[in-house]
Amino acid sequence: MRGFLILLKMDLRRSGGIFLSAGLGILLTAALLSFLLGFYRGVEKKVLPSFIPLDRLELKKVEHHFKLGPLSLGLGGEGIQEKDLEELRKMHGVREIYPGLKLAVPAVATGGMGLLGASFSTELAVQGLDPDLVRDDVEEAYLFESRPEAGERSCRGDGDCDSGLFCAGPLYGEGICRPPIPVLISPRLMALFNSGIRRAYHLPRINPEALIGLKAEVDFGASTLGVSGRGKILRDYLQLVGFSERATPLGVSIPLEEVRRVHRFFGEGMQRGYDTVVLLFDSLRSMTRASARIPSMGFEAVDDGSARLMSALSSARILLLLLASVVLFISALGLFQAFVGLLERRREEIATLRAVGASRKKILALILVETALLSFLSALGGVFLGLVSGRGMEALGHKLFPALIHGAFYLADPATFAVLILAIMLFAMPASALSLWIFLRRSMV
Amino acid sequence: MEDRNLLSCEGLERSFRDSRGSRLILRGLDLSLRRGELLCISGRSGAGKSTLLHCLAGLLRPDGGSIRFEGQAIEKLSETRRARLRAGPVAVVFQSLRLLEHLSVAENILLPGLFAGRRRKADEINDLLEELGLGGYAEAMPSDLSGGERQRVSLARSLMQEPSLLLADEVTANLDRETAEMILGVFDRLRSSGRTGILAVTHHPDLIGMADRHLRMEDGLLAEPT
Ligand SMILES: Nc1ncnc2c1ncn2[C@@H]1O[C@H](COP(=O)(O)OP(=O)(O)OP(=O)(O)O)[C@@H](O)[C@H]1O
Ligand SMILES: [Mg+2]
Repeated sequence: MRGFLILLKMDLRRSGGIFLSAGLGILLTAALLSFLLGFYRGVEKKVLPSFIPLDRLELKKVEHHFKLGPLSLGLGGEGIQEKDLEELRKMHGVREIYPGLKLAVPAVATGGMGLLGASFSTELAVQGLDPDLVRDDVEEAYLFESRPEAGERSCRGDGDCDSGLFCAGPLYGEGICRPPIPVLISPRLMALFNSGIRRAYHLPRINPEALIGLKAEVDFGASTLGVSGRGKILRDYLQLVGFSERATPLGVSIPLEEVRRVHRFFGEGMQRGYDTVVLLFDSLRSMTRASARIPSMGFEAVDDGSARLMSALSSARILLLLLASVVLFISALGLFQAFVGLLERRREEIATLRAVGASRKKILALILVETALLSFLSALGGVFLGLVSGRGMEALGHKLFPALIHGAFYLADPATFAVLILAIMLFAMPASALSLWIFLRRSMV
Repeated sequence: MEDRNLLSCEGLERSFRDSRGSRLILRGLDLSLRRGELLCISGRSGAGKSTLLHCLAGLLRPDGGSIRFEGQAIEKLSETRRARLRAGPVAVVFQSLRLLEHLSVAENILLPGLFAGRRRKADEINDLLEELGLGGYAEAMPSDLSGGERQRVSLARSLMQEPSLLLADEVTANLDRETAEMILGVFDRLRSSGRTGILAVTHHPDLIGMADRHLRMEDGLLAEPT
């Protein structure tokens, strides 16, 4: 043992030249893996969840239609009732549940002059939300409440109203002076806008904070294609009062009672309940598990695109996994080659050690200890290099595409990197033992 | 009669397989060596002289036959036991001069002792180096030595083991007269002590001249030179 330690000490004292290329191979492999791993973790944990709600499922009742020629008869149109909500709430993994009501008539919002430098019209999906559920998400100085039924005074245009109030009512008819309808939007929508939509329309980047308080005109019953078949339009105003995770991810959310009011105006669905319910889950896994049970409870998922995004995501995962296996396979081959090469260069040395009385076991022990040290130090250096280049790429991305890329997307997770270093060491030991064995078998000494 | 022999082998066989197919290099070779005896072996290049030495040192496993060193069958020993022999009573000086380049002369000489668990004093090393004309070289690195000096360092390493069997492969090749004579002197002293048997593969006429016996290797066997 003492002799072994002296030998090890003498051996490690040498100039590192002989270990250089093997060490460099390990270092580069570790750097590549930690570089990719950091981005993979970043995309999985930070980037994707900001676009895709991975723990959120929006449901509606399954409708049974009997198609009898031109006649279509809807059954079960009573909407979602309290007892349904109770049942959903009891499901495993459900963290929170909140019902909503979708606006059944189309709506077009116009605005953005002050913010975007151009007026911008867009068809809006509107959802009614129970104000009690989102109280905490509303910015100070604002309220998310349905407005009082009675107006201040009747009017024919905004000029007839005091400042801060607008003339709301049928287009070309008599309206009532009212404050705008408070609106909440999903932070995911902002992320989506700032990353993609904005570029498509050559619009400037939007700072979410600057949007609070923004007002827009809205025409219920209108569509960007023209007036919808209903023959009348209800003009009102919207004002953004906050961002909420509970807001619909594709559209805007307004107080529930405001949706009912619009429905009453158009004589639509007088139902008293809700038509959608959003479930928030503990995790993606409990959501996946629960979604299997949902059809049997008489519900189906509202296709807000997240289902399609999720399946796209799982194909992306499979692709990444495939890529990772290819990278791992090539790195494993490279590492193995590095150890074979290292022993090849130490051939004379090992022969000499054998000649002067080192047993194979002692040589194996010496090689293993040196491999452990070499692979640990190289992998550590490689992880550091990967980390630095990952961070560098991140900074470069922010600098080159400040509009497209924001926030951290390279996740330097110490536990992952520790596992990576350990895995490289655990691979290196048998790899170098195997190359030594091959070497001793075919060498004369 | 077995007791008188330090080393003996019978029917030694060894073949190598390579691109040219399997070739029998040692073909049932017999050999014996006593303590205090100097045996020289010569033969053309590729005849199998080094192969024989590697088998005798326990570095190569023979395909057939037996090797007895101090009464024990070498081919039956475990690898660890054979390694221990090389760190102690069996010393090998190789044809290709095997020194560890990253260790000093003194450390190279101490190497077998490290595996045998022996401790050596610095004086002993210096005396030995002095005798081989290498006084003051203890801390030098092998890369700073000439070919002849390296040859003598590896001989010093073997002598440090105080071996009972010294296997020497072409130790005087490429050496000037004076240095060769110095090594011959060391061999002579070692032989006179009567404790060590020396098997030297060589073509050096002076070394062959002072040998107790001389054999030629031909067709995988040893024979008296004609
Ligand atoms: N590990 C090996 N694998 C395959 N063939 C080998 C191996 N070692 C030796 N040989 C072959 O065995 C034969 C004898 O080799 P060896 O080294 O014993 O010859 P030698 O008598 O020492 O020659 P020289 O005088 O040149 O040193 C040679 O033909 C050589 O090519
Ligand atoms: Mg030879």
